[in-house]
Amino acid sequence: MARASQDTAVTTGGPVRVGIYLVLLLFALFYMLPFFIMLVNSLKPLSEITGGNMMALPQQWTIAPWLSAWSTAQIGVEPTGLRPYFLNSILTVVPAVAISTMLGALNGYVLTKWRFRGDTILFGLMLFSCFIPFQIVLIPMAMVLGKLGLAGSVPGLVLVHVVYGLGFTTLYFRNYYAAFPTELVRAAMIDGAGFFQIFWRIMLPVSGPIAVVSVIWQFTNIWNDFLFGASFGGTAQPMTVALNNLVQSSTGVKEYNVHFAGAILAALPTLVVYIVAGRFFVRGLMAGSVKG
Amino acid sequence: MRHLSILAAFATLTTGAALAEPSVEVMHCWTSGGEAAALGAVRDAVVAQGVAWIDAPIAGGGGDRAKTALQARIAPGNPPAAMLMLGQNIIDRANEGMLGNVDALAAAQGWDAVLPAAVQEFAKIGGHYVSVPTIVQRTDMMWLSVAAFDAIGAEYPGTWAGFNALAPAFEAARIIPLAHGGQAWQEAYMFEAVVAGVGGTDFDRQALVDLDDAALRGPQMLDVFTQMATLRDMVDSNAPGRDWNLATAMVINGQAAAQIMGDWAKGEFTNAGLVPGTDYVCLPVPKDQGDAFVYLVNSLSLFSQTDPDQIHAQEVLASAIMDPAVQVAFNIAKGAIPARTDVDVSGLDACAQATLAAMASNDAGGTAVPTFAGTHAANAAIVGAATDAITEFCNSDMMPADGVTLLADSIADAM
Repeated sequence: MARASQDTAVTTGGPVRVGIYLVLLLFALFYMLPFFIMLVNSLKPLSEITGGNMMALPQQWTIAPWLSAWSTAQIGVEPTGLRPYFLNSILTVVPAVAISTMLGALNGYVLTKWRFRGDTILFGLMLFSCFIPFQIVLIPMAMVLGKLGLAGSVPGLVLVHVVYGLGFTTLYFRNYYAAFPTELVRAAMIDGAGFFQIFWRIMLPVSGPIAVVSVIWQFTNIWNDFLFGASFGGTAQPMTVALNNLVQSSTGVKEYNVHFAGAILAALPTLVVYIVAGRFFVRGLMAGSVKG
Repeated sequence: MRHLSILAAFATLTTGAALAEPSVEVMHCWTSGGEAAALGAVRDAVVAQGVAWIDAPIAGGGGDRAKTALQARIAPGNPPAAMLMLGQNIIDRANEGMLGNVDALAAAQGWDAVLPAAVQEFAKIGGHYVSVPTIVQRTDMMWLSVAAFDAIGAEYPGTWAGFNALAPAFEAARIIPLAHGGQAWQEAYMFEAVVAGVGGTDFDRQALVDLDDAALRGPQMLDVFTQMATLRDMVDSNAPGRDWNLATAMVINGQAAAQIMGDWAKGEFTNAGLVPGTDYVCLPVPKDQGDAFVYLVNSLSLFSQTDPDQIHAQEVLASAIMDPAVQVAFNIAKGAIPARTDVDVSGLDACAQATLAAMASNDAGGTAVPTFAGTHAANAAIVGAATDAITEFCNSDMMPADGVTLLADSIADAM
């Protein structure tokens, strides 16, 4: 029997609790069903899949599809599996997330603590960039990368993702820092702290929650991005492009078990990030929404 | 001084290492087992000549995603050396002046003599060889299960009426007469096979190549749609959305008697360890109006380059593709027929050899027709509109006469 307390808003009796859990369980099973099918079919040999039942447990358990998806599956002409593209993705995502988060923090700091004429309009324009679809940016970005000589390389892809993500990270940090008392900044200035000193020593240490929000958001979006990777990847294609090549064979043989294994491998990092840091996501967004 | 060294380091990072050896970048959508192994044969030949192969595969959407990536490369003026393009796409790019040519190489190696006229139509545009053909595929084929036909003791059909007559017998024996995947592109390929079979070559040219309105609304088109309606009834209720290779699996298992599909289906049979003639039979679809052959040419088109190293690398690529040994290796891996007519075909299986003989005779007789569903006969906009009409017919109870009108109207609107 749950009583009204600081954590629960409403009292609920035993049977109602059971009912709630039952409904939640049913919904969980329903939404987990596709994942279950993927997992189960990735552990079967191909003959079992073409022969029969998708939902049945494997009669012959094998991890060969996983090994194949990782290192020997055909992606284009080379049978390299997903591994090299996985590394490309990591090389792209880590710098892009770090740079865009830092720049977003700096932008938020400037827009809230160092007010100037037109700062709200500037912020509005940066917000506007959040709504621009990928496709519009494609051709202009291709020309810019071509002129910079960065086309088809990891730094080029990092640049694209940093530019595209800057609007979002600025939004998060700006709103977070707006709730931060300006008096502390003034006190630090009186004590003789400079621009970057205030940033490093006062703003950043308390930005934990929103930094996590920004990292999760950017990581998920950049890891899952396909369009920029396919268009600007060149020789440094990320793993989403490789996965697409793996599963989309128009007139060739389809190895469903390898496809499922590949898809799960591709989704694992974002899943891990969410499991580890997910609870901070909502906490970070809600931070400062209730005073006192 | 410190700043200068940092600047220098940054400059070297961004300019990247210039490749000392020539290289050719090939953009394609062949990413699965057999297809990739086939392209690997070309890659090996190119690398053996000291040219590096930079692979740029982007699968999906029937080449649409690769086209998007291509746009992103053309905009800054940095197209790949070669790209796998089909039919009208090649002609469009050539007309835009984006493709380079290998005429000198072609003259030296005598390509005109060894490539069928049908293939040259999509390799030699405006008199210049802008595209190098690798293989030819036949789209109007029928794949039959020996087990299913033995179960009812029937002969393989030579006419559409004969095939239609077998359907009730199959259904009585609880065999699905026609295995079909209910996807738009599959229905488009089936449609053009029926047009070639029921209407004949001349009608196919008038209706699908010349897009003559009278032919599209005429009595022969009505016959085509009547046959499509009959085929529609032979298909099982689980067909909508089914992948083509799952339909082939039904024929392999003997659950279904026949599938109308291009010759890429052969790969599935080979992978399942089936032998042509013993376990399955590959026949062209029944031809009521004389012989016809609907072909699809797969070729790598060369984008024009200014750097002499790049041009040399492209010539090495073109030479490798047309090398008879590479053509044979390519086709054994892919399961199609070589573009060249003078290669040693003893290594190919019975189906491929029959298809090759048919190609030669049809090309000589002028009865080889470019594929409509594969955007050789018409451009993507018209094929797309026609496909919408065909798939609507296949997935509804529409009367044949209404289907004729819908198709003709759709094509007229798209032109």
